[in-house]
Amino acid sequence: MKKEFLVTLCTISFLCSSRAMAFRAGLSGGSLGVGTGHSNAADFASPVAYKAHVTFRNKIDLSLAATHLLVGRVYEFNSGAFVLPAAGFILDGNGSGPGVSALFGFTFFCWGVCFYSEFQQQLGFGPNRKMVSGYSARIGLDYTNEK
Amino acid sequence: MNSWRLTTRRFIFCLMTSALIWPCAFAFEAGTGPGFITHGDNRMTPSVQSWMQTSFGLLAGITNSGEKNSAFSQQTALAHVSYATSLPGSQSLEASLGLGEIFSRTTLSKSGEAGTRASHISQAGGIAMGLRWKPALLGRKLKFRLSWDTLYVPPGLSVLYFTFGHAQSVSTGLGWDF
Repeated sequence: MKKEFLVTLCTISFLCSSRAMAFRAGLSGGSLGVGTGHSNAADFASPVAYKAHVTFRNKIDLSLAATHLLVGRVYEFNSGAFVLPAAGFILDGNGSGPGVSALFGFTFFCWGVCFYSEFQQQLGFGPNRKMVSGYSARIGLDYTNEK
Repeated sequence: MNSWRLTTRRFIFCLMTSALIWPCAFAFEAGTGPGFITHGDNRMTPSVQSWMQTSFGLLAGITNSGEKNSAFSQQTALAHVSYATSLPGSQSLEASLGLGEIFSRTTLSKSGEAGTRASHISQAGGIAMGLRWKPALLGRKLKFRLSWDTLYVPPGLSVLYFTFGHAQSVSTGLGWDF
């Protein structure tokens, strides 16, 4: 656990010390599936369903939620749609381990802050040679300090 | 009653229309390959995926999978029709968004009171999303493809039997550019 914490700290330090001081950051909440069966309804009262993220100028995105800790790269379309492949640490109802994620999102209604909706799928290696997977469908708000 | 007849003028019209459409509509890539499906409860079963993608981004794919254990046997098909496009700034990554459907047929191993085995056929529709890696490894016509697709069935619409509402499909494959 100490090693994972140090790797995360180093990654954040590297990102902050690079030319990527301009950023976009946001918080989103919604519906989670944690590998235990059916899709769940959106639950905005539960902190577990929330995700925080920060995207730096170089399009590197760092996101943290109860279900993952991921680093990826954002690919943005002119229409406001974006795709974010990422890798990192994944947790679901059956365990946790290293894994990958694919996020599909859409940004809309920007007045200083932007609303965005996203769907994220995850897949990883869990304990005892089992897999961990899951999904989340969220809606959130983004703030950017870029001009 | 008016019957439609192929006149010379109509023939030339059809020929010209076909010639205009041909380069984009009939240029396509098709392929197949092995992979696996994950169900909503983290079960993982082997699968075979086949796909066809036109040059203007229309993508149709189907993934077939099966499972047999002591409790039940199940056949699952995951089909989708999507629009696929390259990610901005990337030569080999592609994303797709569309509509999908999951079909499953489950037969319980345990016989009922009448001595018959219960069989359930269920299906559900949802949003299909996919991410593909298509590196230029094998030349112009032969394509290697690694795809990762998902079908999200919104909460409340999941009525599948032993399949659950969220399925992921990971497949490798070889395609040919026709």
